[in-house]
Amino acid sequence: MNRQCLLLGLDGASFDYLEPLIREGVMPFLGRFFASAARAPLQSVVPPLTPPAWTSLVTGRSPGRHGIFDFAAPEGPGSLFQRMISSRDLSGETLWSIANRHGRRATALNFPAMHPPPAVDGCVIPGWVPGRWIRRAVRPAELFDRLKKEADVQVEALGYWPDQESKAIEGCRREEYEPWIRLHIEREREWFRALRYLMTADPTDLTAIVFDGADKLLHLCWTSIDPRSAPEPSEAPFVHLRGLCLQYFRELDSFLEALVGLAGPETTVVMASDHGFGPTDTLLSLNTWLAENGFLVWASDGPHNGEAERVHYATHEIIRGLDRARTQAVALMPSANGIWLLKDGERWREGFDSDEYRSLRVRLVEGLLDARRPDTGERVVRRVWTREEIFAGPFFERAPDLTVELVDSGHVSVARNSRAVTVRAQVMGCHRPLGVFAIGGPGVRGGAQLGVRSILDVAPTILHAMGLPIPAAVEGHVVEEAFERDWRQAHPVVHERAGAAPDAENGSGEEMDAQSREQIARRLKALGYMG
Amino acid sequence: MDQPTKEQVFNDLVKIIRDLAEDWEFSGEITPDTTMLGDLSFESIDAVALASAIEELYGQSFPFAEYFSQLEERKIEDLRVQDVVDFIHGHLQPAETKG
Ligand SMILES: [Zn+2]
Repeated sequence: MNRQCLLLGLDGASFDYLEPLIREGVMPFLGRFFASAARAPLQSVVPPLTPPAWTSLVTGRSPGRHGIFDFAAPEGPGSLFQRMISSRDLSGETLWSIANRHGRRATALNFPAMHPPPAVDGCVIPGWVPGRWIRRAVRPAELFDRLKKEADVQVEALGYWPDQESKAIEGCRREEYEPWIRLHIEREREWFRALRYLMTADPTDLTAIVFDGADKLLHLCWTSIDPRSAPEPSEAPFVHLRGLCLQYFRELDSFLEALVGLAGPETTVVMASDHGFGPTDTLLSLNTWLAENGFLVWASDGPHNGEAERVHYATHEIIRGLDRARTQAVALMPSANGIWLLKDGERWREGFDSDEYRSLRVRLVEGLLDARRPDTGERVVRRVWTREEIFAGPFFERAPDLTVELVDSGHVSVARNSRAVTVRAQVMGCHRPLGVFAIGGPGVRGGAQLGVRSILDVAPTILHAMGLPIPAAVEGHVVEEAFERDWRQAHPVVHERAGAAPDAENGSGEEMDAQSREQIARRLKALGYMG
Repeated sequence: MDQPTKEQVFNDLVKIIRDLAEDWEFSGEITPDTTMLGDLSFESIDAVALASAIEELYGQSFPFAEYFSQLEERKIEDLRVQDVVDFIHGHLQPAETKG
C-alpha cells in the first residue's frame, strides 16, 4: 500500500508561544498531537524569511540551490529593480514533483513561489497571489469553478491584497486592527474549507498546506498573543484584541484536528513551520545608516519621510531617489535584510575577488556591527553575512551581496528615516530562526523530544515516511530518530543515485548542464568560495 | 522560430489582456490606442500578472519593473497598448539566447 503524508505548514510557529496557548486551553488538539508526536525545534534558513524558508522546507535544499531568496528578485542579471518571485525562479524538484515522479499525486495549497502553478499531477493553489488573479492561478484550471460550486469556497478570498499585507510590518491605526485580524481569520477558514473538500473529493498521496495567518498576526499583534510583552494587559482594547487573536488560534486548532482526522491513522502527519517568532523593539533603517556612514547618497529630490518612521518603500522609489554614481551600497527590500553593492552606478557583477569589493564589504560589516541603540548603547546587528557564506550554489548571484542579521532577528527598514536606529513606539513581532517540527503516524516514536533539526531535513523525512527514495540533490537528512527502532530496521533510508532526477522542473532556462556547472565551480573556486 | 512582428506581439498582447480582463468583465474593443489603466481598468498590481503572462508566452524575462518605474515620470494613466507592444518588441531576444 502507498504510504501517505499530510504536511500541515504553520507559518511562524514556535514552541515558545504555542506551549502557553496549549496550556491555556486555546489549542487542545495541538497539545495532544505534540504529546503523541516526535518533535524538534526546527532551524530555519538565513535569513529566516517566509519564501526561501518554505521553499527549502519543500525541496530539502538551501536558497543558493533552489533560487528563492526573498519575496522579490532582481529582474535581470545586474539589475537593481525587483519583481515579485514566481515559480520560474524556483529550480529543481519539490516534494510534489518528486512524489509525481514516483507515480504519487500531490496537493499543495498556499506555498510561495508556486505561481504560475507548476505542472503537478494533483492540485495546486499558489500562495501570495493577488485575489484578482487567483482564478488563473489554480491547477487544474477547472478547480476554481469546482471549489466555488461544489464546496462554496470564496476562492478570491484566498488571495492577498498588497495594501492589507503591508500593515503587518508597517503597523496600522488602532481601529484597523480588528478588521485586519478578522480578514486573516476568514481567509484561514476558506483555506481550510478548500483543503477539506479536496481531501474528500480528490485525495492525493501527499497533501500539504500552509496556514499563514499566524505570521501576519504575530508581526502586528505580538503583544496581544504573548502577554509577557504586553505593556498593560488589563487595558480593555488589549483584552479585546487578544480575544480575537486567540479566536484565530482556536479555529486553527479545530482545522488541524479535522484535517488530521480526515487523513486517518495510517497517514503520516507532519507539522512544521518556516521560522519562529519573537518580540522586537528596535528599528534599524538600513539606508539611513548607509547614508549617515557615506555609503549611500540620496539625490536632491530623493524620498523623504515626515515625522513617522516607515519600514517600506517601493523599490523604484529607492532606486530613483539615489545619486547612483556616488552610492556604493543600498538596501531594497525590508524583508531579507539584504545590501546590494554598486560600482559606478551599477551592481557589482564581476571582480568579486578584487581588493575594492572585499574592502568595501569589510568596511560595511565593521560599521554595521557597531550600530547601536540610542537608549542603551547596545549593538543592534548580530552578524553580517556575505553571500558566499549563506547562499553558496548556482543562484548565489541573484542574492544580495550582504545580509544583515539583527540581534533580535528582526527586519530592517529601507525607508529614509530621521535616524538610523530608533526604539519602536510599540513592541512588534519578528521572525526568529527556530520554528517547529512534529511528526506523528505509523512507526513514529510518540513523545520523543529531539534536538534541533534543520529545515532542510523536513522534505527527506516526508519522502522517507512515504516510502520514497531521497534524491541526490537533497541536502537535508532523514530525521531517523523520529521513528521506532523496529520500523527503521524494516524501512531503511534509500538514496537515489545522482542523475536519477531531472535537475530542474520548470524549464526556466536555469537548468545546468555539466559544462556550465563546471564553469561556475571554477569561478567559485577562483573567488575563494569553494575549497 | 522567426522573431514575432509588432503586429504579432499586438495580437498576443490582446489575447493576454482579454484573458486577464475577463475577471473584471471587460468586453470592449482593444486597439493600439486603448489605454491600459483608463480603458482597461488595469490596476498597478495587475502589471505583475501581465508581465508574468507575457514572460510565460515568450519564454524570457523583460525588465518590466524598470519600464513601469520610468513611466511614472510621464503619466502612467496615458500608457497605451501600443506602448507595451513597443516595449515587448524592443526587448525580444533571438531564440538561441533565451534564458
Ligand atoms: Zn513566515
